[in-house]
Amino acid sequence: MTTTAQSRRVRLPGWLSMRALIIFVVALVLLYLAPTVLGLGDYLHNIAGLTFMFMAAGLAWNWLGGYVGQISFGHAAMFGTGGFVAARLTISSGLPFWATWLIGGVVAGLYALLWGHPTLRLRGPYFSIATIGVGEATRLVATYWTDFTGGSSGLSLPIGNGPTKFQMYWYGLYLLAAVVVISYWLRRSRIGLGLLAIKEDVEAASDVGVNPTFYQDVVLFLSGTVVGVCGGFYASYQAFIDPLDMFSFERSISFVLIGVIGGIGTILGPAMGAVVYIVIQEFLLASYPQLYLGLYGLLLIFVILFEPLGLSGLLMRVGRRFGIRPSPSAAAGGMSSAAAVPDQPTASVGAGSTDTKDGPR
Amino acid sequence: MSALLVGESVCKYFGGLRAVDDVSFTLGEGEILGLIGPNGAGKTTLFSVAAGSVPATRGRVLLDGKQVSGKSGHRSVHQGICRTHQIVRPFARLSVLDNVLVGHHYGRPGPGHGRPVDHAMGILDFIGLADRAHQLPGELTLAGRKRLEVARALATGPRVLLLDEVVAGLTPVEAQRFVELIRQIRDRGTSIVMIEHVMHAVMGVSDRVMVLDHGRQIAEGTPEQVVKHPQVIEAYLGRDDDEPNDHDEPTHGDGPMGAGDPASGQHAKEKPDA
Ligand SMILES: Nc1ncnc2c1ncn2[C@@H]1O[C@H](COP(=O)(O)OP(=O)(O)OP(=O)(O)O)[C@@H](O)[C@H]1O
Ligand SMILES: [Mg+2]
Repeated sequence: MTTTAQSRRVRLPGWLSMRALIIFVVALVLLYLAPTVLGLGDYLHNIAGLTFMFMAAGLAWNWLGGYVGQISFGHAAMFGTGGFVAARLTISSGLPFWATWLIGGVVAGLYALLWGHPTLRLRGPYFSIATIGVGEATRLVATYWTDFTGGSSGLSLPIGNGPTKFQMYWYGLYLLAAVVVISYWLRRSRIGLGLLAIKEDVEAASDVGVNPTFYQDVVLFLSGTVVGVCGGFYASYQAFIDPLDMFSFERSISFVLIGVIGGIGTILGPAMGAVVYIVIQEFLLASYPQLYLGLYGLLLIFVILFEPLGLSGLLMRVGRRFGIRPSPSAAAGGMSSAAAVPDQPTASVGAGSTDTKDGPR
Repeated sequence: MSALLVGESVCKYFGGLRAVDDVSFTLGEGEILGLIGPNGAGKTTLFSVAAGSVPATRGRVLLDGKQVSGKSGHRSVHQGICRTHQIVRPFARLSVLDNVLVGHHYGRPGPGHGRPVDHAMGILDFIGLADRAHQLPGELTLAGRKRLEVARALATGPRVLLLDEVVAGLTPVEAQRFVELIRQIRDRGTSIVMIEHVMHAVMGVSDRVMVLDHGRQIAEGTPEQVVKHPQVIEAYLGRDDDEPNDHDEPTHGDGPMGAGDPASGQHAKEKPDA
C-alpha cells in the first residue's frame, strides 16, 4: 500500500498524515452506514454499540498503560464514578444525556487526578499495586454509599428521555471516533514522544527537559475522563447500573485485557482487543461462565510469553512476511517516529475503524 | 570575568556520607572546566546537584544569576543547563533520531524550533551519527551511544553542558575524536564542565581544572598548576586508593595522571549497558 497523497496535500497539522485522515473518514462513514446497509439483527447491532464503547475505554486505558507504561488495575473506579454521576444527573436533572456523560467523565477524571497525582510517582508494579488498592477502596465506598449509588440494589435510569438502545450504536461510534482522534494526536504529536521517553526512563527524560509529573497527570486525567464518559454511556445503554458491577475488579481487568490482548501502546490494538473481549464475553462466557478466569489467564500468559505486542504484534509479523518493515521505534509500542517524521504517511491495516502506527511504513 | 555558572558552597550529604562537601566553583562563558578526582570523590553527585536532579544539602548553584539547583531536572534544562550520564541512558526503544528529538522538543526553546527534524539531523550530523538516525541505540557501539547521549543533551540547547565521563571507555582513536568534538561544541558557544578520568583528554582540552577528593575541592587552576599540586599528587598516588593510574610517575611532562588508560578498572562498569 503506497500512497502518493503528498503531492496534492493540503496543510495538515504536523501530527496528522493525509493517509491516516482518509482512512479514518472512510472507516467512520462505512461504520455509520453499516447498520442501514447490512441490516444487522438487533442483538448484533446493540453489541456493536457496546463494542465501540469498550474500544474507547480500552484506548483510554492504553494512554496510561501503553503510552506512559503505567499499568492501572483500578480503572473501574473511574468507570463507576462516571457512570453513577451521569446516572444521578439523569435522574435528578433535565440535562441532556450527553451532558451527563461529559460531566460524569470530568468528575471521574478529577477523581483519577486526586489519587493519581501522588501514586504516579511510583512506577511499574508499585504503581499497579497502588491502583488495585484504589480500585478496591472505591468499590467498597461505592457499595456502602447507598444514597449515591443505591447500594446493592443499584440505580434504574428513567426511560424515555435518553437515546434508545438502537441509537446507542451511533453514539458509541462518535465516542470511539473522538477517542481515536485523541489517541492518534497523543501518539503522533510531540507529547507522544515525551510520553515514550517517560516510559523508557523517567529520570533521563527529566534530564532532557520532560516534566514527568505533569505529563503523567495530564494523561491520567484524560484517561480517567474518557473511561468515565464510557461509564455514563454504559449506564444509558443498560438503563440500570449497580456498583458491584461498575466498580468491580473484573471491570478493571477487562480494560487491561483489552489493551494487552490487542497490543499495548498501539491504536488498532485495543480496538481489536475489544472485539476479542466482547466475543469471549458474549458468546463464550454467556454459556460457560465458569471459564472466566481460566480463559483470560491463559490468554494473558499466551500474549505475554509469545507476543508482547498482542494482536498488533501478530499483524506486524504478518506484515514483515510480506516485506513491510515497521519503523525502528515500533517496539516501544507500535509507534513510528511520531513527531519525528510528520510527513511520513501512517500505515494502516486495511479495514477497521481505527488507524494504526504499528503497521508498515 | 563573566561567570556563567557559579557554585556557592555546595554540600550534598547522603546520611553521614559527605559526597560533596562545601565546594565552590565558577565557569566562565565559553570555558571548559575539567573536573577530576578519584572514584567516589563526588564528581557525579556535584553534577546531579547542578543539573537539579538532586537537591543540595546546603549551598546552591546559579546559572546567570538564577538558581538551578534544588529544582527538578527538567526546569534546570529549561534554564539552560543539561547533563549527560556516566552510564549512558538512551531511550532504548526510540530511534536515534527520536532520542534527539525528545531533547529538541522539551529543551530550551531556541533557534531551529520551526523545523524539528532538520534541527535534530543537524545535531546528529555534527556529532557524527547522521547515518545512524533510524537505528536503535542498542545497535550503536559504546562510542556511538556516548555520542548519542551528548547529541540528545545538545538538542536541548544548553548554555552549560555537563559531560560525565564521555571519553572513558573509548579506544584511543575514538577518544581523540571525542575530545575534538568537545572543543567544537565549546566553539559553537556552549560552556562545558567535563568529568573525566582519561587524563590526557581532560588536561588537553580544559581551560581550568578542579580536583575533588572525598567530596572536598583540593585544587583548582590551569592543567599545569593542578598536576603539580602536592595534594593532587597525594590524592592520586599517595594513598592506597582504587585509582588505577598510579603507575605513572609525576615527573612526566603530562603530570601524575599522564597516561589515562581508558580500558582500565573503573571504566569496566561502563561496558554492559545497565
Ligand atoms: N544516591 C546515593 N545514595 C548514597 N550514596 C551515594 C549516592 N550517590 C552517590 N553516593 C556516594 O557518594 C560518593 C560520591 O559518589 P559519586 O558518584 O559522586 O562519585 P564520582 O566522583 O562520580 O565517582 P566515579 O569516578 O566512580 O564516577 C560515593 O561514595 C557514592 O557511594
Ligand atoms: Mg561519577
